[in-house]
Amino acid sequence: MSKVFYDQLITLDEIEHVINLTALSPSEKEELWRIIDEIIHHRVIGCILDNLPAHHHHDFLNRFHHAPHDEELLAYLSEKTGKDIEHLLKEEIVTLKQELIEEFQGKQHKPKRFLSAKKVRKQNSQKQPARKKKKINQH
Amino acid sequence: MTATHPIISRLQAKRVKEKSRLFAKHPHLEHFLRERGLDLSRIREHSVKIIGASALTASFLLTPPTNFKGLPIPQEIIDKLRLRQQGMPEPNPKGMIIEAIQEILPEKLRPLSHEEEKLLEQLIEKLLGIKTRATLEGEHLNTTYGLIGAEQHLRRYPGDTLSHHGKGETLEEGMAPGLGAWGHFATSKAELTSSLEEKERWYAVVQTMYLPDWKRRLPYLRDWYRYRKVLIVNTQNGNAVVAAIADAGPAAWTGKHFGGSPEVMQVLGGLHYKKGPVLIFFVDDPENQVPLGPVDYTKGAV
Repeated sequence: MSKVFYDQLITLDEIEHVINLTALSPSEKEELWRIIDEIIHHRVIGCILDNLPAHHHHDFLNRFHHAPHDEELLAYLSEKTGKDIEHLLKEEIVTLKQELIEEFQGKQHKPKRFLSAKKVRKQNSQKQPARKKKKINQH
Repeated sequence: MTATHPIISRLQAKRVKEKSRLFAKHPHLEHFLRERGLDLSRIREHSVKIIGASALTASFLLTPPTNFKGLPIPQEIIDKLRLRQQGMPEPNPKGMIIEAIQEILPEKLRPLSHEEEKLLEQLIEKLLGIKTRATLEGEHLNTTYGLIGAEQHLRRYPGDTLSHHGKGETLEEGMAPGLGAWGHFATSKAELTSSLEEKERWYAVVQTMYLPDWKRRLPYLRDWYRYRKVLIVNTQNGNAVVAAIADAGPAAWTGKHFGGSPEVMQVLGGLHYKKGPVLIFFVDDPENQVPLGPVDYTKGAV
């Protein structure tokens, strides 16, 4: 069985629904599943390492390498992090789900250099007093 | 050369970004993986190998060949269930299969052991009169016990529309915009035989793409799995249906292991049944005697 210990925490039904609505060839669909799966693995392991004290990283990675399916790893992580790791991972997946939905919708984050005129004015007005103050100090 | 779908390109870019970000933050992870020749992207394949190796070791070294891990023999279970039903006016084979299944299956979803699968094969044959196999001609699914989810109708030939799929509530599920893993069932409407129509009506989806040797043995396995008959049993209510494998899926991150056509799902759990635990076994039917569709318990071998 294809299984990783955190599988039970991941149910991206909404993403599946979006994919089902997208006209894809069977091979494209499988490719998409694989890419999303890979993104999940990187994101979950990142979340784990961010929360696990560094001196446990090697031990965890060894355990993960020898039994990626072992659900006992969740208990191990909860103990070593002292946190509710299941809750943290579920939250991470919720964030990722939103990001993936935005990717499907073709939404792109607005780069900072394209700030609206209103925001540019606001930023400038916040910076100006500081400059004036600097000039005064120089005198 | 065909163009890549825009969403695939966008997600490929995201994958690269995620990977770079992770390794920039945790360079020791990259080092660890490189040293062991491990790739996070291929962690499922690695997991399959480990599970396969563990099962093999357990079956060779730890489990004596005659030991059924305390599981009762099929006749014992059937006799016990018959005894319980003695006061009833008529035997209830469906009730018997539900009780028998619940006696054997673990509380949590997991791949069944070889012994558990053997026991279920015998019970199914005795109670339903259908010869099934967890391993048929050397092929075995990643799991025979898991969650099934509702799928949409499949396009059977170019130009096929939902209105051509008959009438009734199952049409509400709609038609998948893409094709099944094996493409159209027929090249044209004229080529669509009643047998192919039945295959689309009663189709099952299994995770062929996660089979450990799927890529290596693709030409053989693709043909072997195409329209392969399976028996699906709802472990909660005993409803059973014989279906033909006609698509690959669902993705691992959906939490589901199998899929069923709208008709299959209706038989298993009624009109609004979307997801639930099931058993899936290959039907051993070289003479093509077992028809696709709901299993009639009154014709069982009880």
